[in-house]
Amino acid sequence: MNDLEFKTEENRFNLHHLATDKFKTNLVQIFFMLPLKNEKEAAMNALIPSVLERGSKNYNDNQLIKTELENLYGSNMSSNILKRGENQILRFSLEMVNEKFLTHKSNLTVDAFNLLNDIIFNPLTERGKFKQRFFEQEKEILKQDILSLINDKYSFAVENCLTRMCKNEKYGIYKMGTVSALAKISNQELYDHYQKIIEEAKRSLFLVGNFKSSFVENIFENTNLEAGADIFDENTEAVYQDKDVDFYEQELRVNQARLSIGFRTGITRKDPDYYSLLVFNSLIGGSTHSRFFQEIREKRSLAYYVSSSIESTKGLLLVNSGINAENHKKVIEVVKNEIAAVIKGKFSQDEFLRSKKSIINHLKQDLDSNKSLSAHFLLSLVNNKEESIKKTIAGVEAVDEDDIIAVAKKLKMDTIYLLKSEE
Amino acid sequence: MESIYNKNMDERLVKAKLDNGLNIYIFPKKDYVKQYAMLSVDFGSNDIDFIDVKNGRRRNMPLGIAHFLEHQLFEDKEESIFDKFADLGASANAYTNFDSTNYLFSSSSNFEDSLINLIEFVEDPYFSDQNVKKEKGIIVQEIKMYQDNPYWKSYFNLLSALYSKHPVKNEIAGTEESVMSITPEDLYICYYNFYLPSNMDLILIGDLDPQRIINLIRENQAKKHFPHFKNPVRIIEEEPENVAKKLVEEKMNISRPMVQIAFKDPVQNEDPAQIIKKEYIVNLLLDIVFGSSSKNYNELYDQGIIDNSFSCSYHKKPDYAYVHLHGETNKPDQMREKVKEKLVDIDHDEIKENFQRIKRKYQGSFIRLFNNFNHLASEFINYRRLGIDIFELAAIIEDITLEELLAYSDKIFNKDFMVESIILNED
Repeated sequence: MNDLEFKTEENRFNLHHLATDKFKTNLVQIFFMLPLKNEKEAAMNALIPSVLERGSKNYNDNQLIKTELENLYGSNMSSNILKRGENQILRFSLEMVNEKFLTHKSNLTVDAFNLLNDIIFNPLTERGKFKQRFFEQEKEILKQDILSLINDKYSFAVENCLTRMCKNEKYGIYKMGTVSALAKISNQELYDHYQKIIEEAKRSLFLVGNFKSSFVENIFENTNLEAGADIFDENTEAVYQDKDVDFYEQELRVNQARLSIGFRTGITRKDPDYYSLLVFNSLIGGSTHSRFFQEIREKRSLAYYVSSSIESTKGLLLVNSGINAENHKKVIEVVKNEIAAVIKGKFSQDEFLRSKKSIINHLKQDLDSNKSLSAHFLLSLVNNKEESIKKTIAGVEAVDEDDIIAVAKKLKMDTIYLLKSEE
Repeated sequence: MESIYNKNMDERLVKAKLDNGLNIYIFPKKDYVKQYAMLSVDFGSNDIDFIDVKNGRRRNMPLGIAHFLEHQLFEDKEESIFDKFADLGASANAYTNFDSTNYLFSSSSNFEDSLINLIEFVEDPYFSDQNVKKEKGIIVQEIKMYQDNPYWKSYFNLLSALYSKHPVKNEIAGTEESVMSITPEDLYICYYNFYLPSNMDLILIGDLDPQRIINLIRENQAKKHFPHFKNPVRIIEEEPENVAKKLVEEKMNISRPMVQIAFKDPVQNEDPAQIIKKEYIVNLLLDIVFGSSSKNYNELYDQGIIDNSFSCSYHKKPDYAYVHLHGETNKPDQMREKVKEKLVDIDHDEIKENFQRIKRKYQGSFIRLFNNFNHLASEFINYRRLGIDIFELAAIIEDITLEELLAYSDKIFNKDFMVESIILNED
């Protein structure tokens, strides 16, 4: 068994390669890092992959692309817009079955990669712009995607809490922009912006799987991906401040009220405290053994879901729960009390060890999934701290009880958001 | 113990059946760190009406009881079950669907202790007035969460339009009223009827030594006494051929309308291999006619009638079957009309042209199945309950012929058996 570590290939620009024959599939991912500037740019960045996926010079409509992917034994090609710190990350993914499991001979990896390359770098254009029909249709679909946030009340509450909390920071920009900003985008602007991304944006190429050495060695001959800076974040401002807690309430016709509480941790992945924050989060709200789950759900029967999660590029911690609106003060009280208890060191050795084991268990399991391996490495790369899962585990192992108390003390409650039903 | 090696996939399946009837299935995965165990009980939200094995009385249980029982088994006299797993570095979970309740954990060390934990807590019920009352508050919150989910809402509206008798029309977690009516006694009745080793399957995946694990479970089970009950007799009232309602409409606070369409497919007595094969045939057919590479999909996409929220699939079980299409749209009336129009008149040439390619896609997805433990376990148990081992799927897919697709294409999309569920946005 190899170490399942990404190797950054010498003399090759931004190629991060994890060679393993553990998986049935091979994964290729191309990333572009796009600093969050304003809502219009955010909307443009979100729109570009959808327009690209509609058709390229050699595969000039969606039907042809999908047909080709099916021919390639149902290879998956997808694009996503992620938000990591104050950046959008544009991710193109391609996953195909490993040729060795096919009964027929096939040149699957190379063929699928050529398709991906054509989609990203060889778009279908008309008079120096994207094909107008694709542009208009995808603009309308993105508008619907932005509006559809309200259909998922969990994410709706999370995003509403974060945009209010970070209203004066770039982080407050929604990862797909806004409907009004989107409306202002012209096809020409979008195409110019696309070219700028291809030329200037930070970029990176990940490979996870059992690739032939000839494929890896010649990969840059088979793509138009040019040299450029790797996807290190230099843009995010990790705000950490003392202030009064803001409380926002919003009414909609809902059956269940949603409560989101945002905290500043002042800790990002670069900080030595990061591993302590992981353990703290597991102890307080990350899992079913955690304080919030035990106190709010198991003891008081106030919620079905209650959990906390961290954002480790911007330095945030968020608590989310679905409750009856009249209980919101009770739930906030429990959240405050449990954090205060940790500050006083009121947690058992068992709880502490459980929290560590839980983090380590999840990290180890990431070793068994190509996408988790990639996601872990992506975050460490973005935070300019390339780190294998093994190293993260070692960092967690070294955390002690006092480190947890120190993290709990750093936590600053910033914003409370409550979505509740109309009176 | 029986061991089956699939050379194409380079995967092994080890099977054993204990004296008490418990089935054990192990996929040894060399070099994997993750270990995964799932204890699946053949008891789901559909099993509300049955003959009590103890006294022969017919029992009609409150809706959502299987799901309630799943929650309740996590209650223990002293320590939290979640903590017991967490102490071992494992994380436990469970889910209930229409036909099974599944208890699982994943770990990366202490697998054997965690496995014994799993078996022990499922085989050791403890229901009291107090903990049942507490769980009601939690489950009512869970139900409210589903009620705010437009997809979930319209899906169950759709099922209630398809079926007038079959219990699949009911929400898995039940209703607020049904859940509030559940008593510890109800739970015990369901427990001793369904939670017998002979009504359970244990699926284990990871870098495991099968012989050692099987011996460990055998020793554990030998210490316990299980009453020699037969498996319970479930009662499913006869479902009329016709649909219950043609259309259900509801308004919710959403961004744009959601349309779900289904075709009820009458069931006959079919053997398991036929059921699975038909499920694949109709899914292949749907992919050709309405998948993202189809003429229809791309035409309607181009007209702004559907987008990538659209999807279609066919679900087949021994006692019910239906075709399911759904999507979000600002043109709900056009979507309904167009989908009907296209499905009722299918072009045979299109099926002929695309058949081999779509089949290839399904061969690829079969290979992928073995990448993800959770997915493998849930798919494995689906097929296992029908009496088929997952390796056999490759041959079932391979065997599908063009003629079979053509034959179904003229029968399955019958307007008389079509229902629609629409969620409109509130003004």
